[in-house]
Amino acid sequence: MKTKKIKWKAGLIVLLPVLVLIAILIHGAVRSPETAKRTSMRIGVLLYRGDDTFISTLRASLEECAKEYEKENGIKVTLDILDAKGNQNTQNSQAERLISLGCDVLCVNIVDRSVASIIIDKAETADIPLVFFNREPVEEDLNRWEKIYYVGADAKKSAVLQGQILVDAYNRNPESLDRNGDGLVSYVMLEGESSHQDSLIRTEWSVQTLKDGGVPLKKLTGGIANWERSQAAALMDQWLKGYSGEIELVLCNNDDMALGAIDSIERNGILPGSIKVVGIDGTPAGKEALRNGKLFGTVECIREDYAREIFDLAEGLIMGTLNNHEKYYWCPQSALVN
Amino acid sequence: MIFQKLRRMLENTSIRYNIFIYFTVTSLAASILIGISLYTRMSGQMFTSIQEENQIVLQQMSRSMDVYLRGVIKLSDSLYYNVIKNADISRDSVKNEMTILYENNRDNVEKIALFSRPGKMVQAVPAAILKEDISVCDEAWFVSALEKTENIHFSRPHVQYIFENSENRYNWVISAARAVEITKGTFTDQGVLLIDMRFDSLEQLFDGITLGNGGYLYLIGNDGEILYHPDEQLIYSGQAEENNQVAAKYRDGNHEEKFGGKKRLVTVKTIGYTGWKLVGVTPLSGMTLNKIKTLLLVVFIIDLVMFLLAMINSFISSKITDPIKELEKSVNEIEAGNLNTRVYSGGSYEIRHLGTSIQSMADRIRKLMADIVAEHESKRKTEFDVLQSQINPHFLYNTLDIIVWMIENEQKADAVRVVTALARFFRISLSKGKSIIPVKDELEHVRNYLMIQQMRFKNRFTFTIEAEDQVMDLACLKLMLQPLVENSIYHGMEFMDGDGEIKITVKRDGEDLYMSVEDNGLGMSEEQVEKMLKDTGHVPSKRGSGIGVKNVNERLLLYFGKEYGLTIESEPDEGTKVTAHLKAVRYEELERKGEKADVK
Amino acid sequence: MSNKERFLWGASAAILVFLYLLSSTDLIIKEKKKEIYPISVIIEDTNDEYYANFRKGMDKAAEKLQADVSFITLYQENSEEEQMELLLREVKDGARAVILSPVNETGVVMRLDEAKPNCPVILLGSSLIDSSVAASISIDGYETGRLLGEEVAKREEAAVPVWLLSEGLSYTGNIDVYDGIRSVLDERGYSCRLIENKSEDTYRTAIEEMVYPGSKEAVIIALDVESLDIASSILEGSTVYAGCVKGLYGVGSTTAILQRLEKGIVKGLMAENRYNEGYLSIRSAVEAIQGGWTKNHIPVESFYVEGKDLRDPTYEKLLYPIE
Repeated sequence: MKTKKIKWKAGLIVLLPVLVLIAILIHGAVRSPETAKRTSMRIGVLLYRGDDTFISTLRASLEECAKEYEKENGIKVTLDILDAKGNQNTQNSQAERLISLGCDVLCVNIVDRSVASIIIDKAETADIPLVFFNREPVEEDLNRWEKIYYVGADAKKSAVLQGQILVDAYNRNPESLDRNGDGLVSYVMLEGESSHQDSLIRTEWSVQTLKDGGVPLKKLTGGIANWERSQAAALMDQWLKGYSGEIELVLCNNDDMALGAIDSIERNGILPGSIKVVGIDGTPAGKEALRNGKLFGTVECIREDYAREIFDLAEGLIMGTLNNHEKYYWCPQSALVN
Repeated sequence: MIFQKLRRMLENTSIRYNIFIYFTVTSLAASILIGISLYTRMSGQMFTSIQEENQIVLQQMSRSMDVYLRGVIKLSDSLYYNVIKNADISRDSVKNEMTILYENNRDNVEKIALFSRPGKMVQAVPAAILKEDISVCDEAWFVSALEKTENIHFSRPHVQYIFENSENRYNWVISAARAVEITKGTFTDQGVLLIDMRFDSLEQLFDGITLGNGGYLYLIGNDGEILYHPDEQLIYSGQAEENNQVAAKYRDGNHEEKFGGKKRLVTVKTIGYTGWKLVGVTPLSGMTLNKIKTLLLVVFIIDLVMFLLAMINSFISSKITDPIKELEKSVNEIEAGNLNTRVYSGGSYEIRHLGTSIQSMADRIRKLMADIVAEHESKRKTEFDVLQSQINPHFLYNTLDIIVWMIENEQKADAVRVVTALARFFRISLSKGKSIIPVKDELEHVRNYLMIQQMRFKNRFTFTIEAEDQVMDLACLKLMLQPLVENSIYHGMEFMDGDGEIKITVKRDGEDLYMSVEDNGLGMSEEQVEKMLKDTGHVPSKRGSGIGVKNVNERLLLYFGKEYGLTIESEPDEGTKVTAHLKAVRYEELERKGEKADVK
Repeated sequence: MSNKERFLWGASAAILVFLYLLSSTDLIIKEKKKEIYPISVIIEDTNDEYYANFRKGMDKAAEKLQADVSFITLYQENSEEEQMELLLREVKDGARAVILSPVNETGVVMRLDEAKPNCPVILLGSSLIDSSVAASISIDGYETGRLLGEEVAKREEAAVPVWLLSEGLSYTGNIDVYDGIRSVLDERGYSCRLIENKSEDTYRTAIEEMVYPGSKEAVIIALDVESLDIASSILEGSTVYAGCVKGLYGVGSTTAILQRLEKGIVKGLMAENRYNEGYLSIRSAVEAIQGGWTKNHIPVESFYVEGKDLRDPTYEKLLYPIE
């Protein structure tokens, strides 16, 4: 009898802390559900390069959209905009940081499109939707999860429009392009970053459009200027020396490089407008150059619409008002000439 | 003094608490010892393991840096040996090869540029334009490259400003410059190959590397200047401090130092080729398991262990001490006199053995006591018998004399009567050895005696016997009335001349039986009465049967108890009445009991 | 088991459970959770281009001190009311501290006294100290102006008129710089003209006036970074102005302005360590949250920088902060 009593007590005393432990675990595991009504939104924006002209104007438009939305709806919008300075690793850690700080949607301008999966994995784990823009990840990556979207300007379309400007000009007056009258339009090509999908497509299709439009072409040379004005200027300098007098057309994958080419042309004392320079983007500086006649033509994707689309997508994803939105959204573009 | 008190206290406590205390003290001491030694051991281990970890991290970092630097060096070498050396820049352009090499190393390289000795830019990848007012020859990297032509010179991190740049950009780079030989037509001349390494790729190497306990890693050049520090900008702005100059003087390995009021561990590793040093700093303060919670955990574990041990100990000691307690209780009861208690038998083997032993001892004692009682009984009985056997032979002689005389005097009829009475008298005296006979028989016995005595004393007295019918079957002691009558005759009747009367009455009063012998003889004084009953030294009277009144009284007391016995009432010259008080018990009952007593 | 024993057992078991809870769970001794403080920064502009270096400092501080920084720009430039609105909104949303670059420092303090938000407010670019303000960080405007004035006086002759460009003297900090410069220039006998930027084209019109109609000359001093930016970009746009503008000086810097400084478009400017300011602002905010309103002014030094200084390692980190 006595031993039974002791055993029972022993059992009880050992059981006691175990019960307490279980109570604590249950208490910890119970989390109160999120409240339904939203009063604020947090959107993370990762830029590949903040000092890229196009990107910085896009960013300004995005901020405007956010402010307008805030004013109209009284819902606070926090935009966390981070610049990766062309470094994918930086961007990855920035993505992690934003996810841990609790942003609702990530808009990503990916630096290296071949490694989008790292950010996709992080976002998917945290169940944070992704809106890629301007730099397009590969299709396989975009299809990995249904909460991934892409907003961009269709590179092919831009290039075609760009080409079309020249084709139209050629058709109106071949001499505007073929200045030396040798029956060939000699051009140089300034390309964007080597791994960027847009550079490849734009390069290919602008040339193709010209060919399709019946413009006889002769490629003098081409070079990669990484979307940068200064690099384009440097290359142009070299070419002007190397192909002095031959260059009739400068095809540029974007406006910044076009402006660089123009800088070089000016610097070398050549009359602006004699060599035709075309770009793509329709940046303010580009449009300014267009007005001045320095730039022959460009293709504009209305930045406000571009930014609005990114913002609306993000907002829809957060508010849950998105219904079967397309994965890809192509910004409407139009050619601009003087 | 205290020890003595303690000892006395200990001695007075029960076994249970004794065991408990000793056990508890031992386990407490053991647990504390274990706890403390584990704690200090673990703390010490933590320290050494953090040191080792730091070393490992630094090794790894050093290797990464090596790889990084070697990458740059290799690039520089490839550019030089495979590109520049083989080119004649008057004819060829090294641009494509340089572009390939640049593209391969884009992540780490900002710019590759080749300069001729006068400071003219031969080629730059990616394309770049030198600023107009820049004189490259004055740049530090240019100068040191040409000074020592066999080495690659690494500059400290700086903003590269010699190239035209877009508006909003500035690049922090580390310039790696070397002297090269440029072939121009038939001339060769010295030039400088500049590789601007992106500083942020170096930062990447360090990014996220932390040493244990909030420590960090930084890089210093061989002059002690900080090349990379996680708080570099803060140090510059005066918001943070670092003793990098001190660290520069340390040799490779671990050093303990005090900086900013805190103790810390500094680990240094030199990187080859450049002479740069990797410095790892780990604060020492938090390295011990200092948190209150850990201490409390240790306390908790000690307490738990002790608690469990206490429970086990309690359990064990109960198993031992409780049986002992029970045993003690049983012993106490036995001491108190209750020999019939069952002694507790349980617990461990020894205690059970003790129990059974004590039990058998108690049984033995009980038996012995019963034996004593029985002995007492038989002794009493023997005494009784002995007493009873003190039948006076003198009476026999005298009576036989009378019979002889009668026979000689030809009083045959009287002689026959006397002989018959005597025979009956002796028959009842013996009564087959019984000590208890029915009142009927005792009366018969005394009647015969009286008859004989009457004859002897020639009718000097008369006697009556009064007894109710109901008393006849009651029990009384054998030879009880006869001594009383004898006494009456010899002390009362002797001096009466035919007026003597002896009256014998037997009365029952409920549970009591009164048999009295009354005479009207001389009587006795109170002293004599007392003497009669208390006379110890018994001298058999010549004349009487010899048993005496005292004898009768003793037998009555022995047999029936203290409440019974003789009472004597006497008035001198009036008479004497001796009453025997017995218990009224039916003869058959006593016979049964007596038989049993006799059988012993 | 006797009652006393039972009691002892029960008590020991209770102590055991208690110790366990103390040591291994969070119920009694709560481990200091690493709290992240949400801090909001409200500036006076619609975009943050002039705050680039400042943000770098802030980000570093946020990382080190466990803060979550939100940068809020206004819908409308220089709107006092909006600033207060936003401040109160941020506090309501849970900001533990607010760093404010006030449009009008006295106005802000008055409103703060009225509204009494329950969290520390740190003023940026203002040297005001008040009971409702946890701390303030800025350069010494007067001293800055004075130093700049000295440097200009060293380089320019008193004969040439001096134009002082300002976003608006009523805005925080500008009046101090103005006073500082005036104190020196007036003393040395320079004639000063104040041009406040009322509309987008004020500066442009004024500068163009120099060229056309008449050939006027002037030394231009921009009292704040916006003015310097606009003025320098105007001058950069065309070399025509270079003839008329003897020298462009100013207060504040951005990377673009520094480029122009290097090119010679800007002759000299007063630079401050914006990175440090950013860092200090977050640090004071965290300190204030953790319980100490220092209620003092933290001064930040400003330096005179010329084109040649850009290559000097001393100024490198100041002007081009490492991320």
